[in-house]
Amino acid sequence: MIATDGLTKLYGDFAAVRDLSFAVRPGEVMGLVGPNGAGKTTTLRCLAGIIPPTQGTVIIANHDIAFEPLAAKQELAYFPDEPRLFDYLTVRQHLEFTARLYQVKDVQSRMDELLDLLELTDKADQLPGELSRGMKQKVAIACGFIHRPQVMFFDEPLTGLDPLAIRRTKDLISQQAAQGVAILISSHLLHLLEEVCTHVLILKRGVKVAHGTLAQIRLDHGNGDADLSLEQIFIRLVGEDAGK
Amino acid sequence: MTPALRYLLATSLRNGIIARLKRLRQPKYFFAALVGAAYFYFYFYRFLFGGGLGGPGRNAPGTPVLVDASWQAIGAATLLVAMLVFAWILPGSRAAITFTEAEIAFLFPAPISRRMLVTHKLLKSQLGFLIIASVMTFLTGRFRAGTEAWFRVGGWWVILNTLSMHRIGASFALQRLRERGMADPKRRILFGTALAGLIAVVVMIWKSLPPLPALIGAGAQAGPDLNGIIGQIAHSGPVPYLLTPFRWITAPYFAHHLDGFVSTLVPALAIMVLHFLWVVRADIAFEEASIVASQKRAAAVDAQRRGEFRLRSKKARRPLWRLRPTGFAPTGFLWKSLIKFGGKRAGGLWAIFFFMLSIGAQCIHQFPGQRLPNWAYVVAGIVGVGCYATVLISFVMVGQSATAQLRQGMTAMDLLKTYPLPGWQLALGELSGPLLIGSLLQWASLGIAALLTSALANAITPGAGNVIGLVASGLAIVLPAFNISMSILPSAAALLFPAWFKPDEAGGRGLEATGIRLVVGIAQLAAMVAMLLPVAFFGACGWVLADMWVTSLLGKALVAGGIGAFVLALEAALGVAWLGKLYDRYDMANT
Repeated sequence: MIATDGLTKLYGDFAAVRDLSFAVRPGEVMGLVGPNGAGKTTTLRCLAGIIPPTQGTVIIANHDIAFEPLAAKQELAYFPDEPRLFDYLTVRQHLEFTARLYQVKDVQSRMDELLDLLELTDKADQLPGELSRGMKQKVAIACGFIHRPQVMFFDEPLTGLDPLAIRRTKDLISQQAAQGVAILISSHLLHLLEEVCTHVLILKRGVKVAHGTLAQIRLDHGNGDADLSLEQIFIRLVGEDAGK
Repeated sequence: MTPALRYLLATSLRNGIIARLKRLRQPKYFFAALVGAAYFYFYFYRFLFGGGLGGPGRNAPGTPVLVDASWQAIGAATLLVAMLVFAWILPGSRAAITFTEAEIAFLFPAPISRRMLVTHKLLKSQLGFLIIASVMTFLTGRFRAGTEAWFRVGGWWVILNTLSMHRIGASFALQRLRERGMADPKRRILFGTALAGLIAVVVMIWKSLPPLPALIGAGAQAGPDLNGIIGQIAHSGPVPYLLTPFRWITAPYFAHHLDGFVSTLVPALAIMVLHFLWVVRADIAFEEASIVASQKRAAAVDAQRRGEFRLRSKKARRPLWRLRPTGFAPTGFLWKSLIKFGGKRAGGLWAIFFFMLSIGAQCIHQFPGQRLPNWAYVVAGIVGVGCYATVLISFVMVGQSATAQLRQGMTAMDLLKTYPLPGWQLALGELSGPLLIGSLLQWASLGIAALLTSALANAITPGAGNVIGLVASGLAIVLPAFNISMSILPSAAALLFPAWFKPDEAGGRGLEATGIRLVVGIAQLAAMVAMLLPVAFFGACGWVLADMWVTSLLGKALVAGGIGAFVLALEAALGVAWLGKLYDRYDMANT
C-alpha cells in the first residue's frame, strides 16, 4: 500500500506540495488530478523516492522510504510521462537489465509472459530507435511490471497513445489492481480516471482540495447533484486555475 | 558495482559499437566515415603533428622540444591548481553529476543506493577518459615513441579522473553548505576571500624574488634566460611546497621510463583514491539537481536536433521594430530571426560594443605612432588583426549560418508549405536574418580593422593606408551579395538531398559525423569558387574595357568592382529564385 502523512516539498520558498496525507490500499486505484503546476509530478516523484520530500513520511508496502529506501523501492514501479529508454539496449535487454536491478529469479518465463502480454515478442531484439512511441511505452510498462511490484505510480500514462493502446493500458491497470496492486495515476484525462479509478485526489497549488471515492466526492462537492461528472466537480473546485 | 549496472554498461557499449558499424552499411555514412578517417589521418596525424609511418614525429624522442620539461611540469601543475580552484568558485551545476533521462527513469526508483549510483557514473566515465587520453596521445604522435606513449595515456587518465572527481566533490561539498543554509553570495564571498588569500601568497612570492631581467625596452637582453627565471620561481620560497600535491597528480604524464612511471603513479593514484572516497562517501541528495541537469541536457540535444546551437532563453525578447500585419512577407521572417538573435537588447549591446571599438579605432587613426602609449598600438594591432580574421572566417560562416537557418526551417516544412507564399519568398525569408546580421557584423569588423590598420600602415609606408581603405570599401559593397551567393548552393543541396543533410547530424560525434561536416565544408568552398569565377571574369573584362577610356587607377577599380558587384548581385538574385523553385517542388516524402 501507499501511505503518506504531511508530505511537503519546498523549492526554496515555493511550496510545490503542502501537508499532503492520504493512503492507497491494495487493489485501489487513485487518480491524482489538478491543473498544471498543482504538484502532481512532484508528489509522484517524492512517493517513488526519486526526490526527497522536505517534510512528512512516505510508506511504501510497509517500508518508510526515508529509512528503508531500498526495501521500499523493491516494491514499487514508476512510469514517467515519457517512456525514456536506453538508446543501446534492445527490448529484451531492457527487461533483462530491469530484472537484474530487482533480482527477479524467474526472469525468462516472466519476460516471455510480458513480451507476449504486451505484444512485443517480434520487437524483442529491436533498439528503441526502431520503435514507435506506443511501443516504447509498452517497453516501459513491461519493465515496470517485471518484478511484480505491489505499488505502481503512473504519470500521464496515456499521453500520445492511439485508442487501441489506451484501451489496453486501461485494461492492464485494472488487471494489476485486481491482483492487489496499489496504484496512483496522475492524469488530465478525467473521463479515463472515472473509468479506472476507485478513488480521486484533487490537488490545487500543492494542497489537497478533495479526496475520496467518486461517490464521496460527488456527495461532498456536488451541492446535492449526484450526477455531476468528475470534470464538472474538478472545474468547480479548481476554478480559475483550470486551463492555466 | 551491482551486476545490473555492469550489465548496463557492457551491453550498451557493445550495442553502441554494433549500431555504429551497422550504420556504415549505408553508403552515405560509409563515405562520410572514410572522409572523416582521411581527415584525421592526413591533417592531424601526418600534417599537423608531423606523424606518419616513416620518419620521426615532431614530438618523438630526439626531436628538439620548444619547452623545457621542468617548465611543462610546473605549468601543468599550475594549470591544475587553476582548474581545481575554479571548481569551487564556478561549479558547473548544483550537483555536478548528471544522468541520462533513461538512467533517471530506471535507476532512481530502483533499489540502488546513492553510493552505488555515484560509483556507476564514475565507472561509466572511464571509457570516455580512456578515449580522450588515447586521442590526445595519438594526436601528439606519441604512439610512435614506444612505451612512453602508454605513460602519457596513463598520465592523462589520472589527471582527467582527478579533475572530474574533484569537480563532483566540490559541487557536493557546496551542495552540503547550501543545505545547511549557506546561500550562494556568502559562499562566493568565502571563496573569493580564499582566492584573495591565494593571490596575496602569489604576490608575496613574487616580491620575495630577486629582480628579473628586463624582457622589453632599452634594457632588454637579446635572449633572456627564461629557464633560469622559471627555475628561480619554482625552486625558491613556498612555491615548490604549494605545488607538490599537484605535481604528484601530473607527474605520471611526464615519466620517460617504466620505473619513473610506476614510482610517480603511486602518489597520483593515492590522491585519486582519496578523491573517490570523498565523492562516494559524500551522501549528498543530488537527485533533484541531476533531474534538472538531465532535462537541460535533453533540451540542448533537442535544440541541436532542430539545428539550433543554443538553448532558447525563457525570457521574452523585445523585437527591434513592431511588425505591421501587411507588407512584404519575407520581412516577417527577418523580424523573427532578429528576435531569435536576441532582439533589441542584443542589438543594442552589439551596437555599443562596436561603437566603443570604433571610438578607440578613431583615436588610433587620429594619432598614429606619436602621442599614445606603446601598449595602445600593440592592442590596436591585435584588435585590427582580430577584426580581419573575423571577416575572413565570416566569408564561410555567414553562408553556413544562413544555410543552417534554412535547414532548421525545413523541420517545419509541412507548415511552411501551407503558407500562401511563393517559394522564393520563403527562401529569401529564411536566409535574410543570418545574412543581414552577418553582413552588419562584417561591415563593423571591416570598418574598425581598416581604421586601425590604415593608420598603422600609413605610419610605416605613406599612402598604404589609402589602399587599405579602398579595398575595405570595395569589399564592404560586395559582401552582402557574396554572402547570399555563398548560402545558395549548400541550401540547394539541403533542399535537393534532404536525407543527406539532416539538422540532427550537424552536431553528431564520430568519424562519420565529422565526415559529413567536411563534405558540407568542401561543398561550401567549391560553391565559393564557382560563384567567384564569373565575377572575376566579368570584373577583369570591365578592367580591360575601362583601361581604354579611363586613366586613373581608382576609376578603373570602380568600373571593374561595379561590374563584379553587379554580377554577384545577379547571381544572388538568380540563386534565390532557384531556391524558390526548389521549395515549390520539395517533396516531403523524400525526407
